[in-house]
Amino acid sequence: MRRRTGDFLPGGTAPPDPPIARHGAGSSACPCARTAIIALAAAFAIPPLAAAAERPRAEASVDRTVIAADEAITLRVRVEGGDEAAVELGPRLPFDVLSRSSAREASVSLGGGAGVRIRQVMVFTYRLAPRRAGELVVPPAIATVGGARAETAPIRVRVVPRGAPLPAAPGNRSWRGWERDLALEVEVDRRSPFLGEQVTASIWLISPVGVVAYEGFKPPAYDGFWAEDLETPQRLEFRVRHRAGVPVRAYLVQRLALFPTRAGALELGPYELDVAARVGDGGPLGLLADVRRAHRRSAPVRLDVKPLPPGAPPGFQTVNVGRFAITATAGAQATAGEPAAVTLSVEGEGNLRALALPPLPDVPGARRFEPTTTDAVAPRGGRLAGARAVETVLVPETAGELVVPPVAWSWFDPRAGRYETARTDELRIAVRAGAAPGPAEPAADPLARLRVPPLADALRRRTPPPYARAPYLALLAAAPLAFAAAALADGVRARRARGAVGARGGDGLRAAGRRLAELRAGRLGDAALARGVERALSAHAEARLGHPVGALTRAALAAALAEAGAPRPGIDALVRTLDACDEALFGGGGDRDALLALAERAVAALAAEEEAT
Amino acid sequence: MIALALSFLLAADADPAARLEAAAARDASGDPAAGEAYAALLAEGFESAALHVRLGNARLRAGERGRAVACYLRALRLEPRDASARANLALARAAGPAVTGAGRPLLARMAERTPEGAAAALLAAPWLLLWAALLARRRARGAVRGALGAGAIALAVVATAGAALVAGRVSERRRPVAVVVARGGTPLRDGPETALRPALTLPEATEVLVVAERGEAVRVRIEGGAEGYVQAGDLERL
Repeated sequence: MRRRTGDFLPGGTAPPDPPIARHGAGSSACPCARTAIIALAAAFAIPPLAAAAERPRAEASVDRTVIAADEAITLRVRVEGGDEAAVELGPRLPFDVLSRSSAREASVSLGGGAGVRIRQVMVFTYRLAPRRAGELVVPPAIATVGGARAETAPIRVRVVPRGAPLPAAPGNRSWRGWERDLALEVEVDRRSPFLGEQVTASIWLISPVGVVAYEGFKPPAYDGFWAEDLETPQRLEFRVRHRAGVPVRAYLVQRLALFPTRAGALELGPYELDVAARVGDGGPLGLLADVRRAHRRSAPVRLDVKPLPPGAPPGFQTVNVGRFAITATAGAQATAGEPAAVTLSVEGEGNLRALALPPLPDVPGARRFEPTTTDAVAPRGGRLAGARAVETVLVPETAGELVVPPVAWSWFDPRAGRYETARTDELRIAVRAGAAPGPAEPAADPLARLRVPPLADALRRRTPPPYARAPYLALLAAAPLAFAAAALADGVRARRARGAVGARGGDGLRAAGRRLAELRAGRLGDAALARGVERALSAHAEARLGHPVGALTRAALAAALAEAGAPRPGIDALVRTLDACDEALFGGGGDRDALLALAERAVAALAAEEEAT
Repeated sequence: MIALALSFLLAADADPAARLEAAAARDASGDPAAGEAYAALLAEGFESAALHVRLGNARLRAGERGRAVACYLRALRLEPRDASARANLALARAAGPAVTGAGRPLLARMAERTPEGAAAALLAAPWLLLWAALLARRRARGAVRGALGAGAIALAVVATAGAALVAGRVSERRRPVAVVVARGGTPLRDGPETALRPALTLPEATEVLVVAERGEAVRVRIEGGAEGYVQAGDLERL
């Protein structure tokens, strides 16, 4: 079993070589560190970028190229170039796809002159079962990554008929031995059943080695059979059987009850199964065992279904085959106008879900409704058994007694090989007086309950939703814009107001400065000097505030100046100077140079803020 | 042929209201051609929940349960509270097996059931009031300023909820929902290859979410989160 691969690059071109960055400690041409860093960065950064720009690359491989017709191969399609790849196997695939899976990988390669290459790889895995024997070809798989396409090469697979010898696999002796003896077998308990008689079919997996798991169980179409599941083991348990004196393991896959639905030659088609088996002893702890997968298909089983013998009693239906007993039950009492149930029940072995039970005959004095059927079916000793009950509701119309006549029912017993007929007992139901039933309502047609909307306003032009229309969006945008505009207008207004006050204050300061210079140069008395200083500073304050300040207290003046934007150091100096003027006027004089210096500092402090503004 | 072409031209030029009334009259008499007339009006750019519901009714009477469900779902996208669409959708779903799109998050369900006009108003009204309150707060003093600030915060919360509803409606409109319209259902496969054995069959009228399209195969998500591929021709996109 040789592994075969094929790859193909779109356009038949080789992949572009990534840029090569050369650097090394022994390079004497460029010894500086900066060059080395750039080269190193290029070695790591440029190749991945170049790789990303490459076209996708697809490669297909199979695990085996020679298989038997009842086996399967594993096809792996590896697509490089992106993690959103899609693969099409093509419409002419001569295999059935049993399963499909995909996985993402990152391919990192180093060296080789290409630096670091990181590529996204998608791996698609398919299990393929051949549709016929012969030389088959897995056609090119088409991989698509982001609009770019790549194809794999076709792969030839030789499929030999089931049971034919396969060439030995090189290098692994254990593989061929267990694979040859692995088989899926179907056992039936009878080959010539009567029409409708149960045939118990058991599907066995025969294996010389331990089975790890089986999956992908595919039963046939059961053409000509009614199939009921009897047993499907949920755990892998085996019985030991001997084949040619060699013990093998037999795993029960499923046990079925099959009921032929037509007479003549019928074929129970092949079952298919994927098996994972542990090959080899695996060492002391079983850790080295090799798990191998295989696909098996059972051989078809032919049955010769006998028709039912002649002499069927009147009313017999061919689905009534088995061993049964019939009973009829009902409540002893009922009320006129209210429902009373009569139940016909059949119990036994056979195809209970297909049984045709007789209808309840008309009961004089009662209305009869359509019966309902319930089944309670369960396997019993490898046979399908249980009960089928048909409940018919009767509504007595008047008080008195209802008499349900006996019901005769016939079936064919395949074990005895003859028809049987049973008759139920006559039932008598005492009916009490009650309210008379009203007329039955006709069955409502669901379509009649459809609501029809009015035509008014039905013809509207298709429009975008309100929140996607321009006026709505403009309205939403207008609100913050209006807020921003108002805030901007407020700011401009405040700035203008501050500008006006500042201009007035600047003029007053210059006037105050000139006046102080005149006072320093003059030869005034202490009182006159103090009054002059007070007048000069008050004039500045009046100019800044825009109103007289003579009536204000020092605290009120300071607050007014602060609100008008005067700096706090200047206000404090001004207030101290005015206090010093009062001291000079009313306290008996003082140091005139100190007073002038104090006044000049106050003007300077106020002027400093004005210049900053 | 000429007469047929003329009749088509005349029909196309006829007053849409008159054509709608004529279609309604045909509908009332059980004429299956009524569905074609409704579909023609929709194709010409007219749209309303009533038109979609009437087209759905016609399709349901014609036995096209999947296409009918698609019509009712379109009507509910336009008018989430349309009682006729909701009732008829329930009837159509009850007429056979189907998988619905239940199990969505609370916000998505709220958005699905909120009319678009209501969602737009729920965003616009608190939004405008919010900015008005902020503007008034700039000029207010004292306790009024504080009350306006608190009101602005409350309005911002309501506007955020309205924005979430509008976002939900936009997402609902863009949600790539499709309905299985193939009469016998459509096989759901593990991959796009038609050679794959179907995992299950989605019955007609099943709602699915389109995840990706690859040629004729469409990757869909069904209720419960399972995903698989179906044929594009078996679906009708909303």
